[in-house]
Amino acid sequence: MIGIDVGGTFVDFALYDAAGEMAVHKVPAEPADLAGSIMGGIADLAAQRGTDAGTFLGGMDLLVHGTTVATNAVLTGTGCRTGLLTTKGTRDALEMRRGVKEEPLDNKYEAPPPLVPRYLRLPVDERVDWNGDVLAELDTDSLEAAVQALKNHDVEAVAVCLMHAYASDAHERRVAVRLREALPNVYITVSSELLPQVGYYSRVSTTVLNSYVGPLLKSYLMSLAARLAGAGFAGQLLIMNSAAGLMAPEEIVPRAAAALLSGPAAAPVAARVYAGAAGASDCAVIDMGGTSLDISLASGGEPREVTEGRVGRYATALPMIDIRTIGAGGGSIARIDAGGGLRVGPESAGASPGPACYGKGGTLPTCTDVDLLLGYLDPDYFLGGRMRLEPEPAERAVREHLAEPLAVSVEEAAVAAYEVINAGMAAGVRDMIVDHGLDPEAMPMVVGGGAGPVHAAAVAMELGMPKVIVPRQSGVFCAVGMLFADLKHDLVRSYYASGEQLDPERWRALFAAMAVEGRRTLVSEGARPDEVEVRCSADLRYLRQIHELNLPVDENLAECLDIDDLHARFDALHERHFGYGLPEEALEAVNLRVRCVARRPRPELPRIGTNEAVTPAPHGTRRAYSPGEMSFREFTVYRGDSMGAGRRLQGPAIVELAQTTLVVPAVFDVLVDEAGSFVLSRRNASREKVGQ
Amino acid sequence: MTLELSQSARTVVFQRRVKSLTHEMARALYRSSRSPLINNGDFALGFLDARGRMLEQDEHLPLMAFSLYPGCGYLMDFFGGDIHDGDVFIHNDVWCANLQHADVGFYKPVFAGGELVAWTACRGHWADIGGAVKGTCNPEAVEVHQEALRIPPVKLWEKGRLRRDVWELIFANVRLREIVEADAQAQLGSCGLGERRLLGLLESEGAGAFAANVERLYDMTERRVRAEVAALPDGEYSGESTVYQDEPGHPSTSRIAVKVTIRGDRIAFDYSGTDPQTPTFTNASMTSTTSATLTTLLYLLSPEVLHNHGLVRAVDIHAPEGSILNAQYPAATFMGNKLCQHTGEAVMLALREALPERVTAPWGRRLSYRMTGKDPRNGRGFHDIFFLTYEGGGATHGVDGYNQPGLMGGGNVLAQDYETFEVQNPVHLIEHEYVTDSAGPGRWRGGLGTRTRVRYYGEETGGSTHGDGTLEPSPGVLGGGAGTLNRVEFQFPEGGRRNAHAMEIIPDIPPGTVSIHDGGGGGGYGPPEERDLKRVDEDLRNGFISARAATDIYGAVVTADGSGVDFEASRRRRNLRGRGL
Repeated sequence: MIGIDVGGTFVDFALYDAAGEMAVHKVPAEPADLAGSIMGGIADLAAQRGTDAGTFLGGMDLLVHGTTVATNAVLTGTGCRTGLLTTKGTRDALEMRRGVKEEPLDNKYEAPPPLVPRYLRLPVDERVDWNGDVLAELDTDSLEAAVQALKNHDVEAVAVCLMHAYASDAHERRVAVRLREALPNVYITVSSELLPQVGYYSRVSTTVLNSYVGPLLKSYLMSLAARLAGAGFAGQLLIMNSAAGLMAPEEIVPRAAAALLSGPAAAPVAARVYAGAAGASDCAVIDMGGTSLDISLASGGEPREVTEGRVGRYATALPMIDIRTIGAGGGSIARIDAGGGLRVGPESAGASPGPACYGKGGTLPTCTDVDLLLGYLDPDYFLGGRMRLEPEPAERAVREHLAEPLAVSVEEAAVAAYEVINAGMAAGVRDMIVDHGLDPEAMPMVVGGGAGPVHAAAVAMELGMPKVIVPRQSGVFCAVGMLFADLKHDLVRSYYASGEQLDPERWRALFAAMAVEGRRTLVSEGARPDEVEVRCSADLRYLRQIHELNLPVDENLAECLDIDDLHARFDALHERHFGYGLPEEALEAVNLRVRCVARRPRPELPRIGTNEAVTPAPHGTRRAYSPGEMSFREFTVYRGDSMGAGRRLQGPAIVELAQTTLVVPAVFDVLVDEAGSFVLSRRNASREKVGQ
Repeated sequence: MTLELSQSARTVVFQRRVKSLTHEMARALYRSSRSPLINNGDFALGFLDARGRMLEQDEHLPLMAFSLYPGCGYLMDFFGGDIHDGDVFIHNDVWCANLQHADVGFYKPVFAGGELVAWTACRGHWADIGGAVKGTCNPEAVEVHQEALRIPPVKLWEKGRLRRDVWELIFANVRLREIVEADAQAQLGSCGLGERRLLGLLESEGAGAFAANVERLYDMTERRVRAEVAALPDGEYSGESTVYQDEPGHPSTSRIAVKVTIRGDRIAFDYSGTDPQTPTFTNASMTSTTSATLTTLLYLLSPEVLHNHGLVRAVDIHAPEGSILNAQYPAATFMGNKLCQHTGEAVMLALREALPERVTAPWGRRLSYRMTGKDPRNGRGFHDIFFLTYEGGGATHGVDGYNQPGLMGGGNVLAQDYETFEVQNPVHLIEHEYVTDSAGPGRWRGGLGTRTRVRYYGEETGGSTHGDGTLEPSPGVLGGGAGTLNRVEFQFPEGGRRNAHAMEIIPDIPPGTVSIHDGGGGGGYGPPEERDLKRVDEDLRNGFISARAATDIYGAVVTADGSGVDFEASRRRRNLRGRGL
C-alpha cells in the first residue's frame, strides 16, 4: 500500500510493501495538474524498484490519499459559484457569523467575505419549530422563485439549510427533490443529510463550505481515479478525511467539507505511531515550516478533535482534527518594538528573500539566522549540505536590528531571540494541551521536520515535557500517517431533552439507526461486518449550561438507557474537566453521535538495522548555546543518517540529518529506537508519567 | 561564562508565560459557567501584582479590560494587613471602584514564602444581583439602592474556609440563584486554578525575578505607548457627543465633552465641561470612564500594545467629580457603561482632523433588550439578552464599518444561535437580516443595521430596553453620512402597536406579540460620491443599498433593470457633478 500526501509545494509518498519494507519519496507539486504529479511520483517509485508504473500499480492493493484541493479552494477563495436556500428571514446568518469580531480592538478589521454573496442567498417561505412541528407549510412559489434565480445565475453548487431541519427534514427533502430535478448537474448539499445537528449558524456554514468545494473535489477525484485505473491500478483508493478517517471517494464526494483537513489530519496519526513505538499513548505534535508552526495532539492513541472548528476563517461543525497554527517558523522575523520588547513573528521573510543567511538579499534577522549564530546549524551542512548558509549577513542582521538597539552582544541578542521564539512555541503548545484538559508533563512531543528539532527540546524543557521524539521520516510525516489510518464514518443526530424527558426507546433507536447506517457505509467501502466497531457517545450538559461535553456511551448504555448511570458518568467527566460535578443537577442531552470504525491491518513500523557499537563516533564538536544553562559550551556533533537502532548518546549534542538538525540540550539523553526515531529523554524527569 | 539573558527577552518570555496562564483560566471559566452572560464572554480575568496593579489578563469584552485593578487597589487599602493566604474577596460595589454592579469580581491573594506576591482575579456579569428588577437592569432606578445589592470587598473565604454566612447573605439577595451560584463556582474555580499555576511559575522563576520582571514589563509597555504617542501630532483637540435619556415621561440629554492634549510623549484626556450626573441609571463611575478611555486609545495605537499597568500610567485621565462620567454616590449606574460609546465617539470626533487615517466614524449606539418570563414547555423561568440585535460599526479610512457591534458595544460577545435561542426561550425568531440603506453612506460606508423580528409565546413575559440611538443616529465623519435610528416596536395580538422608548420596562408581553427591533447602521467616512463604483455595484446587487441611494447619494447611474451600476454612465455623471454641473 501507499500513502500519498499532496501539499502546497511537494507530493510526499510513503510506500509499504508486502515484505514489510517502507520507502519514501518526494516530488514537486504541479498545482495545475496534481494528478499528474502523483502519477509521476508513482512512476519514480516503480523505477526505483526496477519495474514500470503499470506493473507497480497492478500489484498495489491500497492507495491512501490526502488532498489539499478543498483546503486550497477555501484559503484562496477560489471555490465554486454557490447558491444558498434558507428559511425566509435568516439568509444573512452566514455573513453575520453570530456577531463575532475576532480582533475586537482593531478598528480596521474586516470580516471574511461570505462564501455565498447575498444575492445568491435566497429565502424559502416555510417554518419548522424546535420540536419538528410545522409552523408554516413550504410555499412552493417561493421555492420556484429561488430555483429560477439559481438558474439565472448559473450556479455550480447549492446549499440548503432550513431552520430546525435536524428536528424535521421534511421541508428540506422536498426542496432537495425539486432542486435535483430542476438543476440535475448542480452539486447539492442538504443540511439534514450532511449534519442533522442543532445550531443554525454552524450548520449553514458547514453546508455552504461543502457545496463551495464539492464540485472541485468531485472532479479532481474522478480524474485521479480514472488516471490510476488507466495506468493499471485495480486496488482500492481511499481518501483521508479531516478527522483522520479513511473514506471511499464516492462517500467523501457528497461530504466534501470532510476533506478540508485531508492532508494535515495525518500528522497526529503518524505521531501516535511513533509515540506508541516509544511507549507513550498521548503526545503533542509540532510541525515547524518556513512561516508557521502547526500544533496538534493525540491522546489515548487517537488524534484530538473538535466539532466546532475553522478552516481558514470559515466555521465547520464536522468532526476534525484540532490543528492550530501560530506564526513561528524558520523565516519568522525578529525585531525590537518601540517599547524595547523583542518580538519574533508573525511577519516572515518567507522563501524569498528568506532568512539573511540564505544570502538571497534578506537583511532582517530570522529564526534560522538565530539558529545559525547560536551554533546549531552548520553553514556547510544545512539540509545535508544541499544549501550553504552565510553567517555574515545573519550576524549583520542580528547586530543591526537586535543587538545594537538592545545594547548587547550579537550572541546575547541571538540567545534572546531564541528564548522568545521558544516561549511563543511553548505557549502555543501549552494552550492547546490545556484546552483539551491534558497535562503537558505527562506526554512527549513528536516533531515534524524543518526547524522544529532545533527548538523542540528547549520547548519541552519549558513545559516540563519529558521526551521529544524526532521520527526518521519526519520529512514525509503525513504520508506515513496515512498508512496507519482506519476507515471511519461519523454520524450525528440532535436529540434535545432534559434528564427526565429522555426517552429510552428513542435514545436506543437513534443510536441503532446511526449504527446501521455507519456499518452499511463501511461495508460498502470494503470492511467486513464483524470488524466494524461502533462507538456511541452523547453531547451532554447540565441544565442550561451552554457548552456540552462529549461522553462516551458503551454498548450496554446505548442499548438500555439508565439515567442514574448516565448521570454518574457525566458527573465524573465534568469533574475531570472542570474540577467539579453537579450530581443534583438535571442533565440535558443535545446530540447523539456514532462513529463507526473499521481498523485496517496496521503495518509494523519497519525496524531499522542496529549498529555494532552502542555509542556512535562523533563527527566533531561545535560551540553552541546551551538552553537551560544560559551559556555557550562545546556540543558534540554527530551525523545521524547512518545511526542504527540502539545507538545512544548524551547531550549536549547536535545530530545532523539530511532533512533537519536536532539540538540535544545537556539534560537530555538520546536513544535511536527500533523505528529509527531519535528519542530525546530528559534525565531525572519523572518518566513514569509518560504513557499513563 | 554564563550569559545575562537580555532583559528585553526575559520580560517578553515572562509575559508570554503569564498570558498563557490567563488563557487556561478563561478556558476553565468559559467551559464551566452556566449563564449565557459569562458564557458569551462577558468577563475579564487575570493577574494583578503584589500592589494590586494590572499585570496580565484575558478579556473578552473590551470594556471589561480595565475593570480588575481598581477594585483590587481599593480592597488592599481597605484591608491593609488583614489579607491572608486562603482568603477570597468578592466585590461588586461601584462606589468601591467597579464598573457596574452586575459585574461581580473575585480576588484571591497569592502567597509565596509567607509574602503576598500577586493576585488572581475574575470579574463576570451575573444574571442577577438583586435590586428592584429581575436581571438587575432597572431603568426606573434613580439611586443605587433600587438597582442592586451592594457588596463592598468582603471576605467570602477566610484563610481557606468558606464563610457560609456571607455566601448565604449574598445569595439570599440574588434571583436565578442556581445559575448564578454555578457561575460563582466557576469564577472561584478559575481563580484557584490561576493561583496554582502562578505558584508554579513563581517556583521556577524565583520571587525576586518575578517581581523584577513585573516592573520591567510595565516599563516596556509604557515606553511603547509613549513612543507611539510621540509620533502623533501635538495639539489640543476637542470633541463632543450627546447622550439621550429616552425614558417615558422625562426625556433628557447630557453632553459629553473631551479635550485631548498631546504633548510630546504625553497624552491626556480631560472631560471637563461634561454635564452633571443624572437622576437616571445612566451614570458612569470613574472606573468605567477610565476603562472606556483606555479602550478608545488602544484603537489608535498598535494592536501589539500590551494591556497592563504600563499603559495605565502612560495616560492621564480627568473627569470632574459629580459629572455623568465620574458620578458620585448614590447615583444609579447600571447603564453607565453605555457611555463608553459616547466617550469613544467624542474622542474620535476630537481627533478626526489630527488623525484622519486612524479614527473611526461613530458606531451605531447600542440599544440592548432583554426578556424574562416563564416557559410553558417546562414551567421554568427564562431570561435572555438579545445579543443578536446588532447595530453597525463606524467606517474608517480604507474599511467599511464592521457589520456587527464593532467598537466597545460588543467585540467578542457571541450572539445567540437562532435554533438554540428558540430551544432555550419560548419565542420564534421570524426575521434576522440586514436592513437596506441602514448604513451611513460614505466613501467607506458604515456597518449595516439589522432587523430582528420575534414572536412570543411565553407566559408572564416582560421585557426591558436600555440604550440609546432612538433619537439621533450615528453621524458620519469627513463628509460621510449618518446611519439609521434604532427602534423597537411591539405589535400586540389584540391589534395595538407601540414603539418602546430606549429605556423602558415593558411589563406585559402577551403570547402572540411580535417585536420588531431595528439596530441602526454605523456612520460613514468621506464623501459617498467618492465611493468605489465597484463597491456601490456590489452593495446594490446585494440589497445593502437601494437603487435610489445608489443614484441620489452615491452619484451612480443604475442599469435599466435596476440590478447593478452602469459604470461608464456613472463615471460621466460623477465627473459632471464634480465640476458642479
